[in-house]
Amino acid sequence: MKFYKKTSYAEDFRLFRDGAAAFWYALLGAALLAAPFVLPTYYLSQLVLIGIYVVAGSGLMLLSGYCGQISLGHSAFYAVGAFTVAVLEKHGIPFPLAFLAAGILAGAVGLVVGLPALRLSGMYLAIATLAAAFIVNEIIVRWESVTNGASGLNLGKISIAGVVADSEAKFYAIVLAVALAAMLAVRNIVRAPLGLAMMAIRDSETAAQSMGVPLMRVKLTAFAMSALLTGFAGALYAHKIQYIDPDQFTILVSIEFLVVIFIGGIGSMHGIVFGAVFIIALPQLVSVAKDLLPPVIAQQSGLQAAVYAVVLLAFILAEPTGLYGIWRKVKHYGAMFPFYRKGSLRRAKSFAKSETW
Amino acid sequence: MDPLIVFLQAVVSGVSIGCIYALVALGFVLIYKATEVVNFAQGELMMVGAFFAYTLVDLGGVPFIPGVLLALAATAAFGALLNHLLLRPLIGSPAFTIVLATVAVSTLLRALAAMVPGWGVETHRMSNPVAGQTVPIGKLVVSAEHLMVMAVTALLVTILYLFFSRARIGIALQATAQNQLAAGYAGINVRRMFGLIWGISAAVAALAGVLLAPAAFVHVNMGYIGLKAFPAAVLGGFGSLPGAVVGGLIIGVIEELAGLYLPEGFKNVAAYMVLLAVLMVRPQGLFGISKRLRV
Amino acid sequence: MALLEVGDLGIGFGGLRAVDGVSFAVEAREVFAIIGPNGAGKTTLFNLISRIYEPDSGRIVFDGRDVTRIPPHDVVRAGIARTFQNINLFDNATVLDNLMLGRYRRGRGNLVQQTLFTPFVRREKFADRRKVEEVIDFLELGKYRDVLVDGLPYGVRKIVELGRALAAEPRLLLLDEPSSGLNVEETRDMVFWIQDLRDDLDMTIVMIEHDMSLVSAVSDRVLAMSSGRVLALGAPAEVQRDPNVAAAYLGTA
Repeated sequence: MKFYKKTSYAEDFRLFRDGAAAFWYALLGAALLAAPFVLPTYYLSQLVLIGIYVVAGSGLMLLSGYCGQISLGHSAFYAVGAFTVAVLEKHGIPFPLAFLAAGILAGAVGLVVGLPALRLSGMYLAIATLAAAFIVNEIIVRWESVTNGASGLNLGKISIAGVVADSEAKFYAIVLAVALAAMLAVRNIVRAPLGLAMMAIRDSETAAQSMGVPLMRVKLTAFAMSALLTGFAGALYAHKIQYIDPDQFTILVSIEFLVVIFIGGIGSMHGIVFGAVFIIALPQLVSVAKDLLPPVIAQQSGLQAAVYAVVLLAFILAEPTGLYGIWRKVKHYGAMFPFYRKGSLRRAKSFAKSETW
Repeated sequence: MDPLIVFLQAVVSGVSIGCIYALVALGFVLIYKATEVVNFAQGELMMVGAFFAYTLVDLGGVPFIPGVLLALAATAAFGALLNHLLLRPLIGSPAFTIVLATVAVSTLLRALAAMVPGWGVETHRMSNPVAGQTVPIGKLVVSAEHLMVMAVTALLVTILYLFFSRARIGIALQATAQNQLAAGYAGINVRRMFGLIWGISAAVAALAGVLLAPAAFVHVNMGYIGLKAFPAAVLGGFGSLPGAVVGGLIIGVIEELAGLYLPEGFKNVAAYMVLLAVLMVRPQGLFGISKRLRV
Repeated sequence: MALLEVGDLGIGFGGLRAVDGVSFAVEAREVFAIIGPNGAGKTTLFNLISRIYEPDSGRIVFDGRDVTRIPPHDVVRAGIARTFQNINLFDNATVLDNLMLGRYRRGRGNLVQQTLFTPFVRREKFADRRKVEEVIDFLELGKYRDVLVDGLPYGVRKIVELGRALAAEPRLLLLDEPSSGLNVEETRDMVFWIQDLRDDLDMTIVMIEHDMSLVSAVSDRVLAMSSGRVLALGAPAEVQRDPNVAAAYLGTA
């Protein structure tokens, strides 16, 4: 059995809980750095996709997981990021600037959407963000002079200060760096007073306000930050796919992001990575399973979407704490062995009627 | 053509599609009032209902009206089953989880519908007793389909109104909607009420699907039209049944007029722009009451 | 000059005057109790002072400053902290985190500093933590420090809420039924805490209470309310003897 005894206040908010945890993360870090030299290109490109979803997921985790504001419209910020970088590079702006602009513009759109939307909560907020996403999508389609409308835009490879990222390995390095930075940024906010304020808003706006938290300001900050990060993710995505059109940024993308943070584990940093891995790994598993299933089911084009939905529902019903929740239970089992008691990590369900929605 | 006529034609089309939105929004609000769940899969229930009707009437050869009624019943049962399997276990869960659950259900229904033999991903034409006919009213030429939609909607709304205000079960449903705990203590079987509400809501959605089929055809992505019901429900005031109907009609008309007078693209997002405007200016909608925070 | 002055405060909800022309003044370092039957408007009064509700009429002056219309999140910054009748804690957080949020009004670091978690932000966190530990010691919450508030017994949660308000270092503490749900021992502790807060920490306390023994033991003055209006104001013994007060509670014979 393992006990954690803390001996200094700093241990409450250190990045890594103790030396052992830091060791394992260092090992993981080394593996990630070694990947381009060891893995075949296909797997490397999957890691790239995971990295992109980590960036987007970290944004949404901050807003929905930590601050408790539901957004069904993050595809809009993804799209803004992607199109910004495509349009700017078409006009000769170098990638580093275009990339920054993508995030900043997405963040700005986030502010514009957030200002009216965040005055609402729960269901109304979800619907408002959904509406905003539709509107942004339509704007992209109609603003043909800039975005080329429904025909879409092509992108070249990333080029930073003359060095072209012409191999998957180089692209991977960029995505890895951005993903780590995104996670670090979110982790820092969460352990800073702002993060505490966000979690307070999630749990009780009235109490948070009575303790001096300016609700609108904090929610807007979370919203803009999450839009910014999702914009960065969109910019990277655009370079991965190298061709973007408005049809790629539908509500389904917003739902994918929500799946990432929910199945990963709401309100946890690990959840971001677990969720991103899940969302990239699942289609692979489905493809493999297709060979095992009778053809009448396997041939269906809707199979992947159906599997997504079933898995999501399974998690919602059986394990709402997500993959991270399962991970914690497994670790707890191991740590407590053989004294593990079922339900030791279960939380009491509350039946309080929701506040005004 | 006389611009006034053009305007009025658009209004008539708007009212017609507005009736569809009103029906879907009605289903929404019914479920929300009773269970505090916002059913993002309402559009897909509409789609399922339309497919049931199509299967019975066109594939199965059942005469139109009995076929439609059977489809309504089947969809109602389907809705109740959905509630029993998925929503009941989630009572007490945070809002986020329930939103995600209904979103997952909508995705699942779309995917499963595509897998059913005979349904698939193609669009289907459903037979329609009043197809193609038109009725001249003054200088207007109104399609019989539009009139059927409006008539059926008006009939349904009347039936629902009578049901909720006069029938015992209807009143019990209202009680459940207002205070589940108190309703339970008064002897109302709250769980059964939930099933009933989902059943009614699903049947209303199915009817909307049947009415929509002539204009939009039957296909698995029909449910997206149901997303327009959100603005309708919000405009009407989320807890208000008459509001849902009025909201739907207004949204329908605004959409048609936007398509007529505004540049391309506005028609697609008109509903959502109205939604955002309402949320900014008067979040409780036309008929909703703004609730006071109780601390 | 009084620390808190409420002048002719009023609010109505749909025709019902929940608070009607209420005026009183609370002196610094005073323990001021508000009593009255249910529905008297006591919690509504608190909600007006902490700016959850918007008054129809009247003024609230705190420490010489008109705070009748300040934004709700500025209330604690002005120096007023409160607890809630039905406990409003952050259920998904530990006791420590709940108390740490009480320090939020101190304000530190802008967005960039916090995103980078600069040494300044670190130092401020340490300072907050030290202050919160003082509160934990004072209320003897040590063994609950890292426990999720969700699973704690009701009495402990009430104390945590008090702790959170104390962590904000207020000058005026609004306690809404601090002893409800507490057993005899815990209520006695509450008496000592309230006295310590007033005597050692120079705090002013306004509390809504139903427990008359607590009121008599610790209050300097009592305000009795009924149907939104003031019935009586004075020393505990006086007010309890007042015939109007008895009538409001028990009904006239």
